[in-house]
Parts: sequence; structure tokens; C-alpha cells
Amino acid sequence: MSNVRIKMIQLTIIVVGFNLAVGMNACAPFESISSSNLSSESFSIDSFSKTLYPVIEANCAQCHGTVQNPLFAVDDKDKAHDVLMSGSLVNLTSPSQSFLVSKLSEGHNNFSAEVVNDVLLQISTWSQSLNEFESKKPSENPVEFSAASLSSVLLKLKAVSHGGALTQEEWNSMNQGGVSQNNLKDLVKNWIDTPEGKIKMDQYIRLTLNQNVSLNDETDDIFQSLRNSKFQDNLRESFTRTVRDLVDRGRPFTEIATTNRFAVTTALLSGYAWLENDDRGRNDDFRKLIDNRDELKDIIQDSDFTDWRFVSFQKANQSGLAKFSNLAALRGIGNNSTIQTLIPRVGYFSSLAFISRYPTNQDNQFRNLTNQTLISGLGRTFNPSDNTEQPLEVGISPDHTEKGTQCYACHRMLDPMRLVFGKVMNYNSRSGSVFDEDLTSFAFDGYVSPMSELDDLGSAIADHPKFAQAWVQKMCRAFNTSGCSVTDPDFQSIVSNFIASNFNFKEMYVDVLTSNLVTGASASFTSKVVGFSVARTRRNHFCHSLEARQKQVLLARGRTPASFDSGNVICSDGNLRDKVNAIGEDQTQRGVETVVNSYPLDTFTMQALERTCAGFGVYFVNSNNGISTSENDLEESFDLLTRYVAGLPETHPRHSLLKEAIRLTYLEAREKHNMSASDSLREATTLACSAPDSISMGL
Amino acid sequence: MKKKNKGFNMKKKNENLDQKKLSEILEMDRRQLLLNAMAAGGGIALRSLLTGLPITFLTHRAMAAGEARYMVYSSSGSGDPMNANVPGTYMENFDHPAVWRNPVDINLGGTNYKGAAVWNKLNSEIKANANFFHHRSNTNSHNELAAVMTAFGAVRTAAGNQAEMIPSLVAEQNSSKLGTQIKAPLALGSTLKYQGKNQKIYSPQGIKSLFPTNLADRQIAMRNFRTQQLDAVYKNVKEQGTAAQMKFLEQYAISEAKAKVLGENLANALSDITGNTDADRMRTAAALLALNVTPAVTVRLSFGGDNHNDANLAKEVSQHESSIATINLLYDALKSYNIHNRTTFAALNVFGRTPKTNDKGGRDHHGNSSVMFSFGPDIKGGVTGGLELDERTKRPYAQGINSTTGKTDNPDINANVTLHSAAKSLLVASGVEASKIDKLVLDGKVVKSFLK
Repeated sequence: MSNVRIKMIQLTIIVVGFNLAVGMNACAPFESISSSNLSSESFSIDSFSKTLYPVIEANCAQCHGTVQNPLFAVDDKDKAHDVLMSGSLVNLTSPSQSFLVSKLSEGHNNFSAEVVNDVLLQISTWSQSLNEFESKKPSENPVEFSAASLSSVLLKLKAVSHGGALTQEEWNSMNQGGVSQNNLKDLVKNWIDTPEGKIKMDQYIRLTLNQNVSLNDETDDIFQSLRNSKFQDNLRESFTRTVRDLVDRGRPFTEIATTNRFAVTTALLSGYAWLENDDRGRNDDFRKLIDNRDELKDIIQDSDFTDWRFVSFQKANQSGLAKFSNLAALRGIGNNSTIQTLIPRVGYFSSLAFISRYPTNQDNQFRNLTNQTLISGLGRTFNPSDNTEQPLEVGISPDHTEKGTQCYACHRMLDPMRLVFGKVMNYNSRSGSVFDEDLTSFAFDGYVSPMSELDDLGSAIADHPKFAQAWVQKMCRAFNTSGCSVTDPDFQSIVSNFIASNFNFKEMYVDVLTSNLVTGASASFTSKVVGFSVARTRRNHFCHSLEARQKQVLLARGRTPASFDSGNVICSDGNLRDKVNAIGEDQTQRGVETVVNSYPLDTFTMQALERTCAGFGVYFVNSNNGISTSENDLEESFDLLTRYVAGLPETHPRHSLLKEAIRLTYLEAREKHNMSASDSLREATTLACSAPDSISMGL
Repeated sequence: MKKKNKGFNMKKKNENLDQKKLSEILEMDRRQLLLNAMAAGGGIALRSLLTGLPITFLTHRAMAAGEARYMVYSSSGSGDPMNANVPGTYMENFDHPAVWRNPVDINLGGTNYKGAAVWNKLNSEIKANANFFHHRSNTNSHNELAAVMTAFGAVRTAAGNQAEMIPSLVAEQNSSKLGTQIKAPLALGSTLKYQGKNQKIYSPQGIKSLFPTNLADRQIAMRNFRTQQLDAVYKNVKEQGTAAQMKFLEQYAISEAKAKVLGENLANALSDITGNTDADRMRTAAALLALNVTPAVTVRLSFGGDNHNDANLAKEVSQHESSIATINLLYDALKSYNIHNRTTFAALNVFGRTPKTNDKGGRDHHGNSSVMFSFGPDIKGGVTGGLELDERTKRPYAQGINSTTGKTDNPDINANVTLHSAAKSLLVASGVEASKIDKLVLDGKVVKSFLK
């Protein structure tokens, strides 16, 4: 925000305050906006509102402003702009190459040539105005992109890839060795290979592949009988471990959709067994099926939730799994075993977690499951403007959708695809068959492939030409909390490298992290158009960071910390648990293409952070958990709070200032308010924990 | 554009301020300014500053129809006999508790209707704007509360990409107009999803723990001290940082200041909360709305609950008594904050219960007859829709409705979409723009006679 804009806000607040003080009616605060204090993003939105928006509002809003994705013609112009930009529906570098233009040119919805020309003209005008805005002198555009400092870059990269505090050694290595893309990459590679970094990466994968099932929700779930936190953790962890194994072995990341080698526990095998070798209630609503709690609860052991191994599932006509309650037999299935199953287990979309999260029913008939499969793997949902030819018309229910309608435009692609689920399972997600077509077809976003079995769906996703782009975009959003422009040269370069590396996920992950798209070290096309902002922490990141930093503190004090676990241990502590729940977390939502991870730093969030940090103070000012309570160790404690809890290495420009603030806070509490040494340290800890550096990701 | 002009005029009005003094003021810490102004202005001033809304807006007692409203929304998955004794139920094949066997006149919006005497215990100001909307929820399954709250998917988010619950749509549509601290509704007792995400259900005590009432002076002083210290640490970045840094710190400072003041005020407002009773929830709801924390709050009131087994309908009687008293308490609390004329209340459950009692004295599930009880500044007192005996089952079913008169004669609203119409009418009465309503609720019609 420019100084000019800040002054304007200050003036507005003063006027309101002045009016209140003198008892006059105050007017609503309002900022006078001129082009001189607009960001590129604001300018782009403003220009879009005056150029393209009226045309699409008039011609497209009936569908794309209400129910039809992509929703680029909604009433909210900011949202419409975001959808157009993040979905690359317009090309502002080369307007005639815009997806929107080509779609209309191909005859989408039979728009007239005048409409097509008008759309092209308006995109061109928008593009031209943006170019003129960008070309103005910096003095005329005071909030032009300003490059992030090295410290901001390093703080952000460590926060999003590891969660711990940037150490002095790491700071020195960059300052003394000079910053190059390669040594930045080396640094990040070190971070992501630590337990903290691996868990962080696992969290991103779990979230984007929709393995984050929560049995505490009132959502439908298959395994009510095993409704406990251990089984929930197993569900969430299974495919994440599967992907981790693929990544660590350097396998192409596309195998997330084709692998039949899953990480499982005995408890999970019991779950898989239940779905295919127990006939009770097969035709009931699946929620009624498992009242078998009593059959398992007395025999299942803690070790059944921790005996992880890899098994390869192989489709067969007879299940090789023992009865779900025959735990002895299931325990005997060793590492690297091959198990025959009636339902093929292939790819992320057939895991227990995924099936539990998106159960189907008589009405839905696997449509939601299919849609979420595409969202998870390719980052896109069905779009009526997608004119990919679907060669087969099987499975399209005439009583559900009528030919020639907007609905049909999606169902002609979706309905044939869902058949591969219904060939191997019934609406209760149990083995069985509700469809029997031999041949169907995958047709989505420009790619067509014949399908017969569930495996073919995985292969189609793996082979899809947009797979690489989808995953680069997913990582971009994970690190930035906003999408990148897919026409950005930096973005496209990463996509090309990802493909060239045979889909080496780790390399791509590092490429995205260290690119200008994420660091903001210099301007990218994305930062010019979409803008660049400091990412706010979310509950999962905040909790992860507290734990990673606690480990650093204990190591610095010569203690041996517990091995880094889930990143949620501290936040489960009674001093924090209730408060931290009020902080927003990364999540996926049904039918939404992107992970929802951007929350306003609003009042409730600030209060929750404040109270959580106060709770953290109680937890952390304890020699076993964090800092010493001895007044002899005060200097050490102040230093540890600054370096690790707030995450500022000794030579960081704000280190000494913050450390002094921590010291003064302690003294104020101790001397002015006669608090105990421990309580005074808690006040100091609260300050360090709630400082802007602690609750941002790369300030 | 109007706002722009107002801002410009506001600046001009103050051109006479001493320039030197203005410069000094400009250098003052903005957070302190906020706090000073809040302290000087009292409650209304506080809310004006917190919300950015002018005092004239906040003190305007009778807002025009179509203004954004706050909402308190009660919903129960138990399937509640709230439908069983309301005006419109004194008819053939209907059992009522002995104490209410003889109906009394209940004056709703100036017209008398026959109903159980307990409904007459509603505050007369409530009754003036209270409406009983007979409809069919079309389900007999407890599990479908969430579906009913979206009128089976007909209520949509503004983006149109997913179903939205009624109170969540009110929040989505009204939050920016009301300038609330958070956009999402807050759940204090009923299941709630907002834009597809399950919302945490807060207990009054849980909120109290987030905004503690018993902070010692030294704790408050320490929080202020910490704020001062952090201001000093980040002063340089606030002034000379990158645009992204400055934007972040700006938001941090504003939200932190708001949280601090809100915390103190909410703590005071919640000081009487001692438990998690329905009364505590209503007091908490009123405080959250009054302090402009959220546009909507959900609660859960019972008028008999899942009363299959309810000898002499004793549970039904006692819970009617207590819940109507709780509604009066809510109204009093809203009135004490002067937002009773800016708040809509609605109670709408997963289904109603059978008119005739069963052999255990209670009532069974009855998706063909449910009622939405609501009141608010834009709601016209009365009864919407009505019941008629179904030929086959001999049970009263909710009938189709005429969207102009609200009666069952000449209906143009099919009985099966009366739930949708109730939702649609309620949303418009809560300030959702009528011009958008057909895009936001994909079936049913607004009942004109429901609205003032």
C-alpha cells in the first residue's frame, strides 16, 4: 500500500473520529481512488469492468454467472476477474489467443460473429490499457511491484516448505555465498528432506488429493464402526504414504493415478475387506451397514493401526481378503504382498479415504466421485464450454439430462466416465455392479481415451496433457494462497521442466518454491497481473510451525526433542486446543477446483491468534516443553524466543528490535505489574508468538 | 459513485482544519486514534468505527424494507412439534395438549388467529411482526436437516457453484452491507455449513474463553504494552516496506485493534453468561450481532423435540413454554442493543410432527406438514399457507400457496415447493435483494403477503 493511500485512510479515520468527538454525524469512511494509487491488480479489475465485463455479463452471465463453471460472469467483478485470470481464459499478451475467443470462434452456444469480435475487441482494449499502465514511470505508479528482500524470501520459503525458523547458518550461507537460483534450490532441498519438510509436503499432497477425510464431521462415512482418531489418521495417512513412497523412489508423479501399491495397516485392510466380503446389508444404505462395532472393538489392537506395510492390490473375481473381523489373517499379510480384490484399488481415487469422503448414492450415481477425481488429479471440473468430443454416449441417463441442454454439455462427458466406478461397486461403495457396459470413454479438457476398467481412468488422468500444468498450479496456490497465471513464462518453464523430468515431483516442488512466482524476488507476469502479497498463516501451518520451532529451541538448549510427528501435537494441548480451532485452515470443498487456503486476517482470527499464543505461553514456559523458567537463563530465553518462536536470525534487521521488545515486555510484567518470573516470560512468549513475523509467511 | 462524492465532501468540510494540527494528527498512531475515538464515542461510536458505518445508519430506528438484516436462525434435526399448536392447526384430526385444547385468539399483525395460548405469551412487539408459514419439508429423515436448510439444494451461493444454507446465504449477502467483522455466520447450536465448509459450533462458554471477561487490569495493560512494542518493532516496515508488507501490517494493525476493543466489549456483553443454556445462547447471539461480529447466528430451540414417546404431550408443553420465553429473552436482548428492528428471527426444522398422537402419547415424523416461525422488521404478521386433510391418510398436509395472498386458494406455488418459497420469502425479508432471489433460490416463489 502506498504512503499516499495510507495517508488517505488516516485522514478518513481522523475525520470520522473528529466527527464523533464533536457529536456530529459521521459519514462512512471512503477512500478517494485515483489511478496514482492503484495496484496493477486493481487497475486490471477496473479496466476489465469497463471493457470485457459488460459483454460477458450480457451474453454469458445466464450460465457462467450463476451455476456454470467457470464462473467468470458473476456479479462480483473481482471474482469474475480472478476466475478469468487464474483459469487463463484470457490471454492479455496475445488477446486473439484467448481461450474465451477460441471457444466462441468454435461455435460455443452459437454466438454471433459480432459477439465474438466484441469479446476480442474488449480483451484487446483491456490488454492495451494494462500495458499503458505498466509502462508509466514508477513515480506515477507508487505501488508498482517492489521486490521482496532476501530475508522475506528466505523466511517465506522456510515457512512454507519446512515451518521452522530460519537459522543463522542458513542466513549466512545465502548472504556470504551469494544468492543464486542453484544455492537457493540446494537450501530448499535440504529443508524438504527433513521430517518437518516431509510432513509439510505430505500435508499438501493429502489436501490436494482429497485424502483429508474427517470422521468427526457429520458427513457420510463408510466406517462408522471404526470412528476413532486412530482409524481417521490411518485413512488420511494411507495414500499420503503411498505418494511419499513414489516421490522418494523418484517414480513419475503421474503414478498417483495408476499405482496399485498402497500403504496399509491391518485396520485399513479390515476396512477394505468389509467392502467386499461381507454380505450383510449389501443393499442397505451404506451408513446402516456397519453396526459391527462390537465385532471389532474387543479384538482390534493399537498395533493394528501402526503396522504399516505396502501391498499391491490386484483385481480378481474372488476376494483374497479374509473376513473383516479375521484380524489374525489380515495381520499376516506381509510387506510387498499381492492381494486379490473384487474392487480394483488403483490411484488416489480408489483409496478408502477418497471413497469415504465422496460416497455416492442412488441419485448421484458416482457423478460426484468422478468429478472429485478430476478435480483432485487435474485441478479442473466439468465445463460446458469444453467441446472435447465424447465418442460414446453410453451411460447418459435421458431422465437426468436432456440432449441439447447446457446440462448435457457436461453430462455427455461425465456420465460415460462414471461407469467404470459402477462396474465394480454398488451405490454403497461395496463390491458389486450397477453398470455393465464393456466400453466407455474418457473425454475431458481436450483429451480422449477409451476406458473399460477403473485402471483406465487412472491412465487417462496420468496421460492427460494438462496433468503437469495442474500440479504446478496446485503448488503455486499452496505456497502463495492464490493461483498463478498459466501463461506466465516462469510458470510455463516449470511445467516444461516437470514433463522433461519424467514428472519428478520433488524437482517441480523445488522449482515452484524458488521461482519468482513464489519468492517475489523479482517481478513475474503473475505478480504484475494478479499481484503479490504476504501469505497469512493458517491453522495447520501455524501449529506445524510451533512444533518445528519448539524442536529448534529444545535442540538449542541441549535437550533431545521428541521426533517430529504430525505437526499438531502442541495445538492438541489443552492450553491451545479450543482457541486454535477458531483459526482458518487449508481445506478442500466439494466441487471447488482449488484448495481453499486464503482467509482474511479478521478480528476473530486475530483474537484467536492472541489467545492461542497466550495458551502457547503457558505450554512453552516450561523447561521440558520450551524455555527455562529460571531467572538465570533470561538472556537465553529472550534470544530463543526471538530466533525461533518469532523466527528471526541474529543478523536479521528486526532481530535486535524484537528481542528488545521481548525483554521490555518481560520487565514490564515483572517489575511494573509484579508478575512472577514464569508469568512474565509467558507475556514475552505471547508477544513473540503473535508478532507479525510469526503469523505471516515471509514478511 | 455516491460514496465517492460523500468522501470528497467530507474532505472539503474539514479543509478549515489547522494544517499544522492536521499534520500532527496524521503522524499519530492510527491504532491509538481508533481506540481514543472509540472511548470518546461510546457504544454507537465504537460500532461506527468498527464497522465503517456512519452513526446515522446505526441509529436509524426504522430502516426501509430491503435493508440488510441480521439473522438468528433456529433449526433442529429432531423434527419438532413446533408445527403442532400454531395458528392454522385447530382443525379436524388434530390433537393438542389438554392445556391448549381450546384455542385462543392470537393477534398477529393486527389480525386474530386461533392458536394455542402459549403462543400468546410472545412479546406483543414480536407478534406484530410474526408469521407462521405452513410448508412441506418433504422428508421424514432426521439426517436431512442440512438438506432442508438448503431447501434440498435449491438455495445457492452467489457463485452458484454449490448449495448454501439459508442463514449462510443471509451472511454471504449481508456481511459487506452490514460491515461485519467476519463474513460467515456463527453456529451456536445448530449444524451449519458456509460455502460448503462445516462450521464449528461454538458454545457461549467457548466464545467467552476466546474473549475472557476476567482479565485483570495488569493483563489488559500488558496486552496494550505488547501492542506498543510490536508497533515500534514494525514501524519501519510499515512506513518503508514493500507494498505487500505494508498491506499485511495494515490489516494486522486494524484487526488487532478491533479485536482488542471487541474483546473488551464482548467480554462485558457476555459477563452474564454462566453456562450453555438456550438463554445463554440467545444473549450471546444478540451480543455477537450487536457488536457486528457476524451477520447471522444459528441456535437450536426445541418445542418438544423427538417426542415419539410423550405421555400427555408433557414434554411438548414444557418445551413450548421454555422456548417461547427464550425467544422473548432474545428479543429483549436485541432491543437492549437497539437492533431488534434490524434483526430477523426464524425457526425452521427438518420436519414437523404428526397432528394425531400415537399410542405412546407422542408424535411421529410428518414431512408433509411443517412450519416456519419467523419475525422481523420486514415480515408481515400473520399466517401463510395452511393445512387440509389428505384424503388417503386423513392427516392434515400443508397445501399449495397463492404467492400474492399467502392463502391456499388459487395456489400458484405447488405444495412440494412450499419449503423453497418459505426460504425465498425469508431471505427477501432478511435483506437479500429481490432482484437476485431467483438466482439464489432455484425454485418456489416469494410470497408477497409475507412481506411488509
